[in-house]
Amino acid sequence: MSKVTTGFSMSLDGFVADENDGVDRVFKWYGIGDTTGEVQIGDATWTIAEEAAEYIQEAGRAAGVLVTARRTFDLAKAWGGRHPMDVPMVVLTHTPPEEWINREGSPFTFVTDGVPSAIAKAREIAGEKDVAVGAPSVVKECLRLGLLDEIHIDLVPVLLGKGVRLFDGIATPLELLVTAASGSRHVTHLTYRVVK
Amino acid sequence: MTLVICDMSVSLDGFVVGPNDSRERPWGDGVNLHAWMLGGAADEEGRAMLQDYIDGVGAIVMGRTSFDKNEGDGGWGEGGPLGATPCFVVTHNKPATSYPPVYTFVTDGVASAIKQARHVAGSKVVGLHGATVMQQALPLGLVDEIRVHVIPVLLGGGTPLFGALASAITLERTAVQATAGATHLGFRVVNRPT
Repeated sequence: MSKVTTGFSMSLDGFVADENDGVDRVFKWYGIGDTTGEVQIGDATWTIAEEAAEYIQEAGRAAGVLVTARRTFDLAKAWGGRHPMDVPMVVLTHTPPEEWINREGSPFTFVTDGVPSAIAKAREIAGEKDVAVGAPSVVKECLRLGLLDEIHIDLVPVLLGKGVRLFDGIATPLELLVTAASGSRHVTHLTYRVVK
Repeated sequence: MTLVICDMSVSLDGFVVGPNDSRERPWGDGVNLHAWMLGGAADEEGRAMLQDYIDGVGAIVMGRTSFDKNEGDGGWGEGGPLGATPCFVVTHNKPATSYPPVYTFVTDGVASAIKQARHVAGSKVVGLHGATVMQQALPLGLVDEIRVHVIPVLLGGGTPLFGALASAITLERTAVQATAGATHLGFRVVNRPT
């Protein structure tokens, strides 16, 4: 069975965005490197550090789908219709947005009946590939329901002091198995398997 | 200049101890975050890291919570967390009863305690023990280095190592090492709040 994974850039004190949902600081490592590469968001091509571009492309190859929440979808302005990972997306929402329903070429499937349903739908779409989860609220619910298999953290050397936490109010101690640690001065990549 | 370092084991979600901790249940509802360096499960690398720390620290600064929880019988016994290494306890009121001479009680704040600890530590480092003094000292620009041993566990609650900050503090990673029980990260504090 394919894995349900998540990956976030996170400050040392656990924030994946600042108090205004700003991600510039946690994504700063994307811009640091001697050589460059490209990622596409919507119709726009972004030049970032080659290492970071490869990292995103690799994540896009491993994942067959990205599950996200309406809040993230809105903040990212629907990624202009194409996520950097270039995968189909399942969006959890109470009310699917009009402009994306039945729109040709839309990568979005809207699910209104909760996380287990969204994950099930995502598995269908992903087939053999992994299901990636891209919103903190969905990560939290997946952890609570025992649906998450793997966690990738890009740990950034900064203390933000406030903002949006990735891990918030998990009910009981949850054991992880660290499977990898790598990176540079600017980011430490940690990979964990959730022990069930 | 004597370095002030914070060296703490922490869960991936940032807690140094689980909820409802006490003298009787030191880890509370969480798990033992020191297993990587102490006790039967500790491996050689972990024990060596702990010894390096012990050898390098000239004085310790801690808060009243750490002190009350661990001092004396059933805890640190006649010494402090590192035996005879002098400890400066930041507290509002000096305790009424007397305690072993390893402890000095400082009632005029963490900056004063760190200053006194620096004096005693000399060429060794000052170790900050516990989350409270870390959260007090960091915004005052008094912390030079942060070493965290990230344990592969999510506790969901407890005492967080890091607190709220008025503005971001930039760090630079100086060390990374993965061992069986933890991922060890060292950081230098770059932009110090003034």
